[in-house]
Amino acid sequence: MPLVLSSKIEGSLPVDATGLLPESLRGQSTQEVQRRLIRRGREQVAIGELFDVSGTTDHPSLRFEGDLHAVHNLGAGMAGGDIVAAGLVGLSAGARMRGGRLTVEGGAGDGAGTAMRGGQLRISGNAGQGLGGAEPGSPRGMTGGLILVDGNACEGVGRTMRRGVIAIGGDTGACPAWSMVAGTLVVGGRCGDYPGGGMSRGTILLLGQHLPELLPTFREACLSSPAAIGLLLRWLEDAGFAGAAYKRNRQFIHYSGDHLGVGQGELLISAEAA
Amino acid sequence: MSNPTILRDRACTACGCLCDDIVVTVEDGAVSGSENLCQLGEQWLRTGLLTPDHQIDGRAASRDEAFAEAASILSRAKAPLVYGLGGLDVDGVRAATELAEQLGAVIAPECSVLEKAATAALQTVGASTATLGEIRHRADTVVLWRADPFSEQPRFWERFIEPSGMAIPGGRPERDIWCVDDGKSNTATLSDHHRTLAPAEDLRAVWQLRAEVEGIDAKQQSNGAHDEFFRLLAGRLKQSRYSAFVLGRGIAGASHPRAVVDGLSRLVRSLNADTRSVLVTLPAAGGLPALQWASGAAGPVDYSSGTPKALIEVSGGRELLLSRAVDVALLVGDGGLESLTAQERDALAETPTIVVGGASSWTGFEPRVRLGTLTPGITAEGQAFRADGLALPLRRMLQPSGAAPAEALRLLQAALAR
Repeated sequence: MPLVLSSKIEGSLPVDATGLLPESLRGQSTQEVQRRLIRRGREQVAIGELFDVSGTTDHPSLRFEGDLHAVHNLGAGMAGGDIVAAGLVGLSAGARMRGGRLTVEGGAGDGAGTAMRGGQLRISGNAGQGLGGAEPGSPRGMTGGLILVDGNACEGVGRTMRRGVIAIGGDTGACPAWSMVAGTLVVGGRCGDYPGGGMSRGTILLLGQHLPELLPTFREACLSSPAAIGLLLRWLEDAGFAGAAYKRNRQFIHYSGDHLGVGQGELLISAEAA
Repeated sequence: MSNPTILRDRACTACGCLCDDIVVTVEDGAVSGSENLCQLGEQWLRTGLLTPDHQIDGRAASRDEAFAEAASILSRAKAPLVYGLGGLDVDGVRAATELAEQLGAVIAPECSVLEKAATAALQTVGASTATLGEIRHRADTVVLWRADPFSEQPRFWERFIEPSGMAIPGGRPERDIWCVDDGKSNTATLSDHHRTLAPAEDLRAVWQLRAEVEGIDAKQQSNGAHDEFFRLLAGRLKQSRYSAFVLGRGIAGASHPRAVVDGLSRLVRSLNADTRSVLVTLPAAGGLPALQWASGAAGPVDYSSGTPKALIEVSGGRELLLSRAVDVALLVGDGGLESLTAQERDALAETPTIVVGGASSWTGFEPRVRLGTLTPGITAEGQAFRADGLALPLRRMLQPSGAAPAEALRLLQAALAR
């Protein structure tokens, strides 16, 4: 049985879950975990004051339950193991992840998966702003890993992303994959306007029925049905992304851009949308 | 009746221009006249001369009582917020940052949409910028993008556009002024070329302009008239010796302001391959760069872990108030409820609040404690940065009793340490 932390947090004062990772808790008894300090606002608080702790730390996974909306940085920096958060989580979930799997059975606040380098972040609800983007002051977004969102994502998805894959089952806000350097963004629903502005390389795949407003520096290249798309969607399906399953064998209008830069980015829009 | 004293070369912090040619007449311990102040400056002087007082729950209190009560509230706080910092001098911002560090608080300057977008562009694209004096002396082409100096910086035009400069001996007639905005400003009527843009059109327009400058074939705009305007502007930008983009707060009303500023920054960068081009945003004058020196971050900073940690841009003071993520708010410097939304006001009303500022700061609601401070440049000395990063001294005009913002914040630090 994994270690289970059931929230008894009241109110919205921020709880910083940085360091609450399977690898850092391994080998500790539940009593030791309860005594461990985490930050709530400016105070150091014993985990036992904020969570009921049960299960064992021998299992390489960690489960959070209850009201987690004020729990920020959940799974931030994790390098391995599994974390499951049953419910809406706060800001910066999975930021700077290097490995392992973080599953959010609910929505995630802003900044989820920022500066991610590896591993898998799965969000079954909606994601806030800046998903897979850059940390404050940094010019680069995620550089690796996989982010799957079953719901919608707000503005700033994949901004300045360098590598990795983001798949959104629902809709995205405006300007997704802005200044993308490389990597892949898949949008199953309605994509916000101006995808890929300033992108140099990378792939944006729009599976939905809606044709977003494009910047004038994207050029229509051809109508195609790349084999790689099928492989990508199968890979996403294998990873548990349901949005990919019924989208195969389609034709896509292939745009290249952004020609104000390197211009080697691909924007593939389902032919049905046009 | 004493002889009037004429005080010359005083600086006004009402806007980012930080005009330092203000002349004030002081007679019998009061200001009896002024010269060179615009309407914003007159309001700044009028409110800055009001006598600040200390209050607890809306009732007048002694200085000791008010500081003790404020310290008591702050010492009990679990997640305090230091918010605002408008109108503070450099030392005031330093003191606010020190207090935030001592408290383990989040410190969040109140920034406009334009300032946030400009900071993001600076971090991803970089900046090619200039002092306002350089623009005056060299810019033969000025593009005002949703900027309305006549309402936002009333003397900008008179000080930096109209006058002659080293490389512009003829002054205004030798400058080509292009204006892109909603068509409702005075600036539009005084420009040589003007284009009205709907809020949703900015991003396409910027990309069209960039494409014209780069000589890239771009798809036609839906409105052909735009094409011609931006084609002409691109030609002018490439031919000019020195072009300056001045971005205004109107960008907040455009769709995707961050992307617009990002695009304009990239445009300026590419123009610099063949000519000289700069971009300025004219933020308010004050001491905000001091927060960047102290923390290394350009936006909100969290000191709760003991070390400064830059917060993601959506974690500003307003967002923290709205999400009830703070239990005490310390509002420092100028500010007003009119800048907040109804929900933000409700959140503020539910949060124990301490105001550290002049008599006109954050009026219209009753904070738990109000610590009145003098106003740098009017009743207190200090230093402030102009919009272009130039530091100027602020010399007081009068010497009433009371504490400058920095002094008040350090008194609060001392009260907390007791």
